[in-house]
Amino acid sequence: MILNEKQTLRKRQSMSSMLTFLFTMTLLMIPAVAIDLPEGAKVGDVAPNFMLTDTENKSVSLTGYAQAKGVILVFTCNTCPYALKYEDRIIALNDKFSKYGYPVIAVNSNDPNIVPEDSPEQMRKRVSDKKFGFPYLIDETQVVAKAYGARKTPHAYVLQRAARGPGFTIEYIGAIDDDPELENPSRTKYVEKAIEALLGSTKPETTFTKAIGCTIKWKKS
Amino acid sequence: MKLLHQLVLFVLLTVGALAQPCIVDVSTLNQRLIGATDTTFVVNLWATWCKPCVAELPNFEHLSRQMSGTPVKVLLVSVDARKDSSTKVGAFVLKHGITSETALLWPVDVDAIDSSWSGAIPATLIVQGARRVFYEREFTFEELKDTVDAFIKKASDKQ
Repeated sequence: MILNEKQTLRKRQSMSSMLTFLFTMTLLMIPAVAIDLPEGAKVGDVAPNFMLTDTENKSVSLTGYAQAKGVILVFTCNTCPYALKYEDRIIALNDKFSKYGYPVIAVNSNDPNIVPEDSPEQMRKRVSDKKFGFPYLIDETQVVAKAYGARKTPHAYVLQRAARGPGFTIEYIGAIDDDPELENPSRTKYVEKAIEALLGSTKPETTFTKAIGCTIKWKKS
Repeated sequence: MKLLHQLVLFVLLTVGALAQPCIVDVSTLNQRLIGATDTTFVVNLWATWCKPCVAELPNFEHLSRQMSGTPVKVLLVSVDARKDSSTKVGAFVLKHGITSETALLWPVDVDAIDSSWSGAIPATLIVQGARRVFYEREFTFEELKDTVDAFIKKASDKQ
């Protein structure tokens, strides 16, 4: 990545205009981002539709949730200890909010060639062992993770049905709460608070957070 | 016998104390990184529970040994839970004979490390004075060495 930047800068510097110099200076100020990582979907964006297979080989799409008030979309997996810490909380979110119109959809975008324990068979076993009451979708091409800009597990998106039209808008992106270790009884439960706000016809107070997680295991090109 | 017990206890406590990483917050870490302007810090963000992080740690250790005596300093900054600092991180450092300086970051303010960081690990930050480049990825030893060399060369190119 740094070599690409260097090559680009050398080309620019060979031109002599002030505009080129300013462009170069602006480039240097942009935080270094690996160019092949997905750009983030932002709060307020239309939620990208998707169609993925679940662990029962059923096709699941966002458009199939047109009757729901919203969706709690969580990128998770079988292997990341942080995702595993949150598994019970994800199940609890579905138990609590699906009856209010906000069911969970879980997506696993990890490449099973890199982490065999994230294979569809292992996902099927997980659904059965933990009695997930929600679909656990296989993002085989990793296109959904890229569309949403998901970079790690767990990574949660709260979607709300758009006021007009068939789609959903993204209302919250980030951590489920601020207490992975469950040490703080007065933890801030970001996803719950976001949904409670939306159910009360207001916008969430906190719409974006970042937390530690494991990188999504991208396919090697 | 009592003396022997005391000696054993002393040794265990000392080793334990040496193994326990310092707990630092982001502001303290940044002050150190930015303050020592002649040093190029290679800060690897990892955790004992992160498999790919643990897999690439030897590459950072190798770099640290290779760069010993130069103004390049490797810092292994763990984002393990604070309660695990001695039990998990300290124990890990001891078990694997880690020689690079290790610290535990608490609380983890993702944006204050780098605004492009999603919070995913492993990740590596290279800092020299005001220059910072952030990588949200794993490194082989060759890739790490090339990246650090390029970072240093860029600094000397400017001068």
